Amino acid sequence: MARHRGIRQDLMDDYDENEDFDPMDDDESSADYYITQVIAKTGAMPRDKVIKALEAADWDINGAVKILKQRPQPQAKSATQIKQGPIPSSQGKQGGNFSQGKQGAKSNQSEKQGKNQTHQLKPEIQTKIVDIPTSKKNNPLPNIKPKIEPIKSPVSIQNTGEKQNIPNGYEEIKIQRKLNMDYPDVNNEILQATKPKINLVVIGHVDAGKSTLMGHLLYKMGYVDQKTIYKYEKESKAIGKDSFHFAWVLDAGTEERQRGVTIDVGCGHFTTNNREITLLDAPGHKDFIPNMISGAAQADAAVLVIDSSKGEFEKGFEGEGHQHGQTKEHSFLARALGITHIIVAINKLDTANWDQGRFEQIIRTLDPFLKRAGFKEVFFIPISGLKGINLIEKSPTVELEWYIGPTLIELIDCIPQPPRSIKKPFRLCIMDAYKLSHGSIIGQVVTGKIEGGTVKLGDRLAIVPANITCVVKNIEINGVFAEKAVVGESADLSFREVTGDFTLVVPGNVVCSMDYMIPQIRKFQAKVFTFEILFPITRGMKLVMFVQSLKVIVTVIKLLTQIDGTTGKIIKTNPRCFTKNTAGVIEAETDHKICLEKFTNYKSLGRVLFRDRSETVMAGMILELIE
Amino acid sequence: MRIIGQSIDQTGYGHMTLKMEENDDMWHLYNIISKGDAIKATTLRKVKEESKTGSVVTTKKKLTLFLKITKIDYEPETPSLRISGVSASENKYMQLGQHHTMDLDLHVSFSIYKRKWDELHHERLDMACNPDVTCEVAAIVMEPGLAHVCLITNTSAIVKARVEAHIPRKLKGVSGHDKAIEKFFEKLVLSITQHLNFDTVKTLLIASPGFTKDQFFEYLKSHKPAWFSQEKVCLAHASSGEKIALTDTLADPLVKQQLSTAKFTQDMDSIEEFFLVLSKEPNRAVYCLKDVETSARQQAVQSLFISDSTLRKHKVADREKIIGIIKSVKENGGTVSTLSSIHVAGERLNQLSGIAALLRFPIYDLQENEEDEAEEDDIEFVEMPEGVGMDNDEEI
Repeated sequence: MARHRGIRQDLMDDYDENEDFDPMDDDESSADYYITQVIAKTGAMPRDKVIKALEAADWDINGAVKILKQRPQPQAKSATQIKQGPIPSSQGKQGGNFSQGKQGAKSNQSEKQGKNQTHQLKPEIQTKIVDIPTSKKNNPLPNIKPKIEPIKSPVSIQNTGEKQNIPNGYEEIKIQRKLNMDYPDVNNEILQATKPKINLVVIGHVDAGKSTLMGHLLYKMGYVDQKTIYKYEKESKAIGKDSFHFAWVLDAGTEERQRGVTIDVGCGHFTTNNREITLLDAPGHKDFIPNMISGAAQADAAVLVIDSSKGEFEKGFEGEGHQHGQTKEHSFLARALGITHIIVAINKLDTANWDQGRFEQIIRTLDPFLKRAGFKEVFFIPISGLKGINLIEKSPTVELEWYIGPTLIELIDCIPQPPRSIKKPFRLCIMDAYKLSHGSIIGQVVTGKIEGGTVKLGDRLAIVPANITCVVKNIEINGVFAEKAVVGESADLSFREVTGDFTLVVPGNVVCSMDYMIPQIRKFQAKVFTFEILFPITRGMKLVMFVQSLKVIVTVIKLLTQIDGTTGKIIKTNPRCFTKNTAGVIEAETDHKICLEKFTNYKSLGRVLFRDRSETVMAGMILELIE
Repeated sequence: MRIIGQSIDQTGYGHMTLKMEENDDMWHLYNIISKGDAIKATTLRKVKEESKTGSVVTTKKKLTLFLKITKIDYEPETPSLRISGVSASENKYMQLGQHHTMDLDLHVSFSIYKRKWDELHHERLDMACNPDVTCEVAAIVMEPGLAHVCLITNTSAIVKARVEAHIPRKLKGVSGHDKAIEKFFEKLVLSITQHLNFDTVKTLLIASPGFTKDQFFEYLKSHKPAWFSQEKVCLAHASSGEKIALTDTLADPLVKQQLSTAKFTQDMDSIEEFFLVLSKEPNRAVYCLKDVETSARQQAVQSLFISDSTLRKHKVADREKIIGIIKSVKENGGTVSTLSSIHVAGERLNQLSGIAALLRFPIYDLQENEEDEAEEDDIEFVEMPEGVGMDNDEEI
């Protein structure tokens, strides 16, 4: 399965740059301050009405509030069309537009875009900002990007003191939000300089030894005591699964232990000298790739475990018959999900008597393959998961003397921390949701990785699309209670004061801040590139789409353009189909509303994978949310 | 379906008296009847009568009506075929032009009057009157937390029920997971009992990725619901628990062996072939009416695939065009397959516009146009023959 170098590497790289967002000019003396104050006192209101009232009241906040209270509550509709975000690479400053009136903006926009964006994303507001009694009055606002700040949500806790009426409030928020806005910074936090937190996923072909390796590692580091390991040894022997005792540390399910396979992602955590690691042990079996995707989507780096026994590496890499092995597929999936740092653990080398030749042979095949796939950092290390060799300390084994590199833990210790969007609005992708009862305490808990922003005890958050709000009662990170959690951490949040039905919360939902809620949409546009597929992608095709832990059926409504993988130039508009290794832009639709973000806002919520009949067919990035 | 009588002249104008015997016949009839036809059938109608005392009494009378058909509704789940129309006959209880809606039932005879009975109609009648051995297969595609209970026949693949449950993952303790799986299985068994009739179902196909199917099989064996019999069960692999996974499962050669419904496996194979050719030699595979028409004119079509919804949807003029294409393909030695649009292969074809063809040689100049939606035009009603409907209304 040789990949076309251009598509895979370059397209991916496009969006892997650490894109800095210009902080918004947040001048307190500007009109925004007045506007937000008025909204705080009157509730949800289109901004243009507020501005009109402010002008009429000569910029007196209370006067404007009086005027607005006299008017009937305006409809949230607006006649103007909202600018749709162009594809990020061509985004330019469009300050000049704002000096024109509403009408001007409308015609300008339709000329500029040239597409039929007739759906209305509601109130167009910034056009009036220019008419304010500040020094900015007659100047266009050059550094405001087309998608400016959103309207403060009418149900955010600081605005209204009354009880939130959430289901209706959601409708208003939805209407007032602009779907494709860029989020501004909402806080001034910075990441602590203490031990960086890294999420590590362990991938590889079935029976490569992933669970055993990690179980043994945890045991050696002292996270599992001897008694437990002896117990596992005894029990596994009793059911005929000798040598699986280390795997049982992470494979806790009954089916998993009985059959000797990992079915769902196993979680563990440990601390090294310089890092705090959250471990995600993925299943290797082809059928459980959806579970592997939900684990790998959270990860910052990967450990690829290879079975180096005779014939096994080849089976894992090339596959048997017409099926390909998971070594390849997992690597591609990890890369498609944004992982650039990979440690290849060449396991079971003791069966080949620590033969350096075999080690080098595997590197000769894998290194170019992984580099071509786009991984920036690739490390190779020989280990034995079962025997525990080369995991923590250097091995005294004579045969392994030719290896002079670091141990596994040393390699893990230097994994660089990827950029974290700590200033962005809060997002947590739910991996699991359940109700806990400790005696008389009943907790409603979600587990997941924080993809943006921070959360602290007592915050009121929203869970979409379950349409629930709740207040954070407890935060648990790696089993330890905390007062605050930041982006990059895997946390368990338990809630109180839940408005709505908590049983509606399922993996795939997102916990978000009330002020900037994640858009719920059905239709979207994505830039995709196809893998080595047999059947072409055609209009009307139904595929299974994966975003973090969400799995949903999408229908490909339109194949908009076919583009060149390396340059991004349009090759064809309205192509008939996408064959293998093709890049293009599609429009797709789901049956029910799902939560997605543009790739430029949150990379992890904007990366999607498409599968059809047990094969991964496309990987994509969300360009635009439509409705 | 049984043909009880017919009277058709050389132009194709005339009527046929039919009686439906099986559920599949409703589907066939749905593909035979079109708007503008007329139907003579016995139906119940609410009739207002004024009695001597002056009060108005509504009674239901069994009448034989002639209706000019304006609307046809088919529901595969029940299945039911509902016909709405405008009365074409006068009688004591109903004037000309009054609207009426009726359900067509099995084992009741009725007559259909058509302007033109063409080859496609006759073919479908043949299919309906000489069915293959009716074999119903119940299929359950599942994954932890989601299952679809489907009924597959020769002509249709319908989802009878969708069972969903939230299964906590193993992340925080196993007992929650196992308990939730048990509950999910319970729900599923209830759903199966409710929606499937195991007198007609010969095979129960249980398909899932991973081990869920084996777990469910064990559950069935230990809990032994009333309808369960081990021999009927066939375990297979599915790519997920969604309905679209059914396509993949049914294409599995092991599964095909087990199931004896031959027609739809053939259809599946032909659709797969089409997509293969589309990926390898994109100019040898065409879809959309315009492109297919152009290819047919050049006598390039080797195999033609049409879904029956395309035939139903198009205006009369287009239907003539399609019949023309079919004829020319057959004359040039090509094959024509009509795929049922409520079956898996037909659904796939409908996503591609409903009509597609594999060509003998590649054609390069085809316009890649979007297909126009078939418009609703005025219905042209069939003219009723003389003397029909003037009397003969029975009141039972």
